[in-house]
Amino acid sequence: MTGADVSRALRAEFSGEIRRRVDELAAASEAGDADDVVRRAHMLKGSAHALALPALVAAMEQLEGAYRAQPARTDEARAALAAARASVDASAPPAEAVALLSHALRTPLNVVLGFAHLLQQADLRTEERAHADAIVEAAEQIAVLIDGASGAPPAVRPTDLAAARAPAADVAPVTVLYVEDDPASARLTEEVLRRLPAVRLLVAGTGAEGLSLAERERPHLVLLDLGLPDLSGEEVLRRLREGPSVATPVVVVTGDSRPERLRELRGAGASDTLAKPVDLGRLLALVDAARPD
Amino acid sequence: MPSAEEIAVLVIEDDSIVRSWVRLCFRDSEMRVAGEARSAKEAEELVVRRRCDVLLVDQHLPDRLGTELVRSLRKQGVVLPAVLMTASAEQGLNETAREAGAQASVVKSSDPVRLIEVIREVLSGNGIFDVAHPRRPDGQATLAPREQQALALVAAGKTNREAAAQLGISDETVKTLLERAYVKLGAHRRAEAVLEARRRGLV
Repeated sequence: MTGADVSRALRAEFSGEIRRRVDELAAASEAGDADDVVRRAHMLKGSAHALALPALVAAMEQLEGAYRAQPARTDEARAALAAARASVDASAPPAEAVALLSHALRTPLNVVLGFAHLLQQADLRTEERAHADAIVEAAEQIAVLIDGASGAPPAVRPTDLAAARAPAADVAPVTVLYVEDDPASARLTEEVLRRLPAVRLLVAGTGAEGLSLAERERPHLVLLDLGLPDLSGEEVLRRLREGPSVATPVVVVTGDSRPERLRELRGAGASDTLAKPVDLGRLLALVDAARPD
Repeated sequence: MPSAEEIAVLVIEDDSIVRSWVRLCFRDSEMRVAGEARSAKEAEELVVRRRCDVLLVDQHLPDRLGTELVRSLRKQGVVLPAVLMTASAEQGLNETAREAGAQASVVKSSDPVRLIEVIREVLSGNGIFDVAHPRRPDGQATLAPREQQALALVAAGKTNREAAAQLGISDETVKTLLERAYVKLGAHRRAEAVLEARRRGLV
């Protein structure tokens, strides 16, 4: 890789991160914390060198110069911050496009990672196990890249399925309704839940089907994907909350893991959220927790 | 250009972007990252656990200066060559780096070739200090070690009280050390002193 290739790859990976750092720098300046501004500006200058963003390096030097002359939010400091923002906007693809793409990538990535995790648990020869490990490692790298590009905080994915396997056999049966239009995602969840005793999984491919199954079967837990073909996920959530499932825990499975989005979903009635790629261990724990007493 | 000998580099850097940059820079070379530390404290732990050939040290770590880390590692008998990285040219940094026991300095850039060359040089036993750092002017008052330590902690975002706790001295002593440092730096305020000290490569 040439230096230009290295910096280009990093700009793609860290475009969300750089944007966030510039925002945090502006906030520190607004809060009047001069030491914090100077420290952040200095670090950002180092990052900007690595990313080959000379305009951002220059903006950070201007900001340091402004704070050296007067450690306050002067016009010069404001100008430097504006220049920093402009340089980031000029260097990164539009945030909207990145968000859409990373959102769309999370569903198939979830399937790849999930099945690879299941493979790791299977009875494989050493060589094949190494292949499964390589798939998991590569898929996790993609997840990190997507988190970085979309500005979502890096998710923790400690998927130790072996440890999550339920020990007791005499547990109360639990009915789970999964509203999901992607067949591969549904199959993955089916395979994962097979590892728990006494789980009855119902899958609905559309919002309407999900609502009618919820009414008829009264599940103990609803897993709800938001990208449905007929109704929006929010609409399904609202109707579940109005209907007989008013008290049923509804866990929203979403590719959009920005904290503000997750808060919104909880505000709209979701009892919990699972960000894609899904932490399978956490999925098992949620299902176990939904068992009737 | 891979060579027979693999070179293991311990990367001591708090900025995740720069750490990723270093990893990518090494990809087509004989170098590999032996471990990554985000602070001086992590580095001190990692350096005894991981086998490595060279230390790549950021000068502005959250808990200490890179030069101070190198100084303390030398006291502990760690003789691995050390390369100091800075985000900008800092007056007197080369002198401070040499005094601390480092073998090289390099100002961050987007050029992997430069970084790799510097590391190869120090492994061949050569000192290589970036000429971008202006020399320390003759006779310029240097900070006493405790003044420097107090100022470095403040520059890393610690309050006086936190700095006092870390150095095992009273708040009042920290205040005195900082005031003396301000005078030597010709600064009136904390942020101004931090900037000036940074410009001179002292913190």
